[in-house]
Amino acid sequence: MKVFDTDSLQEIWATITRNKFRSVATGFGVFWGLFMLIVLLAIGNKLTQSILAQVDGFATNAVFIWTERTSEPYKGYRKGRWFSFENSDIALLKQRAQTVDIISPVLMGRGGDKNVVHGMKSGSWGFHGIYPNFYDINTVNQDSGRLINEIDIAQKRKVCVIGNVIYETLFGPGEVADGKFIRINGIYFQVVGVISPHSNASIFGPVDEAIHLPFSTQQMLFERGDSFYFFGFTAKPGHSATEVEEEAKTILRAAHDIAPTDTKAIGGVNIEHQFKIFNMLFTGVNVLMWLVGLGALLSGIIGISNIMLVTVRERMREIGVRRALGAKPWNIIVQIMSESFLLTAIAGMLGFLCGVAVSLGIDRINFNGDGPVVIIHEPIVSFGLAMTAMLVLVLSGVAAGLLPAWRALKIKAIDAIRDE
Amino acid sequence: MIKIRNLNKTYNLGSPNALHVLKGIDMDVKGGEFLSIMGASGSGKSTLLNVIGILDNYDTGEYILDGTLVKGLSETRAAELRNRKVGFIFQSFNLISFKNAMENVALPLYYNGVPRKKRNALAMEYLEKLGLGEHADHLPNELSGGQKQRVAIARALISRPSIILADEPTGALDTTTSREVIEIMRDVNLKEGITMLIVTHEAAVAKATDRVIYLRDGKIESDKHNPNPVIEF
Repeated sequence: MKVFDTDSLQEIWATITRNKFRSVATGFGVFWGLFMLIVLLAIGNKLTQSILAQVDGFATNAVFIWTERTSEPYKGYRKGRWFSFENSDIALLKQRAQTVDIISPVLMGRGGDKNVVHGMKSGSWGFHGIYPNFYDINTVNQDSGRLINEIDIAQKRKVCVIGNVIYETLFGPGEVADGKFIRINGIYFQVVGVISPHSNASIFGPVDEAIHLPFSTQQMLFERGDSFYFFGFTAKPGHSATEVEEEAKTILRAAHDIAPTDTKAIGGVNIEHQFKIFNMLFTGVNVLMWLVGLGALLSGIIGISNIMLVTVRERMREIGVRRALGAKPWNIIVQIMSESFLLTAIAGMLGFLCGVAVSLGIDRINFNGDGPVVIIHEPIVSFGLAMTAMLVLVLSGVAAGLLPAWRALKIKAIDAIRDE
Repeated sequence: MIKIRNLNKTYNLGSPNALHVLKGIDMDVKGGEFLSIMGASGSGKSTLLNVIGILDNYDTGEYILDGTLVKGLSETRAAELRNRKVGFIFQSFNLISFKNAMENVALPLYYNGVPRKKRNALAMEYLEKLGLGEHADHLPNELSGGQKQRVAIARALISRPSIILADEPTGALDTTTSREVIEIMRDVNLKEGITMLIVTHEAAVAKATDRVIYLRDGKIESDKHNPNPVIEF
C-alpha cells in the first residue's frame, strides 16, 4: 500500500493544524536545534578556514634548520666552535636522507642603510639567495614576470625577484619593473619578477619585503666559498617533519664532526608541530560544535516525541474508533509517524534555511583581527553538510515518532471506545 | 450469517481472579434479522458484542461470520474484516471531533482505499438519506445528540456491512430522539436488508425488535421471537 498519498497527507495535515499553537511550540524545538547546528558548524568552519587562510600556501610538513655553535667537544675540536653548511652537504643529503623530499638551501644577505637603490629611490632591506624549490615550501603570488629558475642558478645570473612593497617603494605607479636594474649592496641586478604574499605565513620576514637572488649568484658575490647557514626541507609522503629534522641533523652532524649527542649545534624549527596543534584545535572546535548542535537538536526531538505521546494519549478514543472502523495497525503507525515526521521536517527545514541565511552573514564577519576579511569561496555550508543535516533530520523525525507510534499501537479498540 | 457454537471467554485466564464471562454461547443469526440482546450489567452482553464485532477474541468454540471462521486472526486481517463486514453504532457516538459530518461518514471508506472524491460523494448520499444533507460540513459539536447518532448510523452503513452492531444506541438520547433513531434503524433494516443487532438494557428498545435474546451470567437464558414489534417510547 502507498504510504503517502494526498489523502493521508491531508489527514496528517488536519491533525497537525488542529492544535496550531502546540504544533508550533513543538516544532520550535527542532527548528532551533537544526538552526543552532548549522550556525555552529558554519562558525566552526569559518574559524578553521580563517586560520588556515593565514597559513595557506605554506608547506605543512616543512622543516628549517640552521647552524649554531657546538656545545660538546668532539674528535679533538673544542666546544663552542662555529661551523657552516657546505654545498657538498646538499648532494650528501640527496644521496643519504630517505625521508627528505625538497632540499632547499637558503643564504641570508644582510641589508644596510639604503642598500637597495633604483634611480633616485632607495630603501633598506635584507635579501636571500634561494633555489627555485623554495617556492614549493613557501608559495607566493606572482604579480609580474617570473620566479628564480634553474638557469639562473646554473649561469649564476645577476637577477632578482622583489616583493610588492619594494616594487612600490622603488618604482613609480604603473612603472614596469621587469627588465630594470636595481643596485643591491653596490651590485646591479636585473629585476625579473614581482611577488606578493599568498598568505600571512612566511619564513625570513614578510614576502612583500623580500628580495630573492639565485643561490649560486649570491654565494659567488657575497659569501665566502661554498658555505651557507640555512636549510629548508619538506618531508616525503608517509614521513613526518620530525623524522626529517632528526635524519638531516644526524647526517649533517656526522659530516661536520659534531658529537651525535650535541643537540644544540644545529638549530631547527618544525612547522608540522605547529600545524598539529592547529589541527587539534580545529578538531576540538568541530567536535564541540557538533555536540552542542546535536544536543540542541536532540532536545527538540525529545520535545516532539513527548508531545506526540501526550497527543496519542489524548486521542486514545479517536484511535480506538479508527481501529473499530477498520484501520489496520499499519495505518495507525503510518499516521503517527507521519505526523511527527512532517512536524520535524517542516520545522527542521525552516531551521536549516534560517541557519544557512545566518551563516552567510557570519561569512562577512572578520575573524582575523585587523587582517583582511577572509571570504570563503567554497560555500560556508557545504553540500555534504547540508546532506548530513537532512539525514540527521529524517532520522530524528523517524526517531521522534517511534515511541508514540508504538504507544498508539498498544491501544485496543475495545478499551478506547468503552463507555464506562 | 452468524453462527456461534459453544463459545467461551475468560478474562485473566489462568490467574486466580479469572473471570469466566461467556459460558458456552450457542447462537444463530440469519441475514436481515433485527434483534436485540438484553441482560443485566455484567451478564456478558458487551463482551459478546465485542466478539461478534471482531474487537475481542475468545478462548474456545467457534464463531463464523458470513462463512468465515473468525478465530486467531491477525490484527490486520481482523481490521479488514471489520471494515468490510461490520458497522458499529456506539452509545456515545464516537465521532471524530475535528472532522465534519461528511468526513466522519466517509472514514470507513478511507481505510478501504476508496478515493476521496468517490467516498465523499457516497457519504453525502448517505447523509441525505438520513436527512442530514444540510449538516454535512458541521463538526460533531455543532450537532444535536440525535443528529450525531444519525451521522454514526450513516458511517456504519457506508461500507455496506453484513451486520450493524449497536451498543446502547439510545443510551445517551432522550425519548423522542431515541424513538427517531430506532425508527431509522428499523427503516435501514427493512430497506437495505442489513442485519441489526442491538445490545441494550432498555425494555422499550427490545420491544421494537423482532427477536430478543436474554443473557444472564454468561449464558443465554432465553431467546424469544417477538411477534409484534412496537416502537413506543
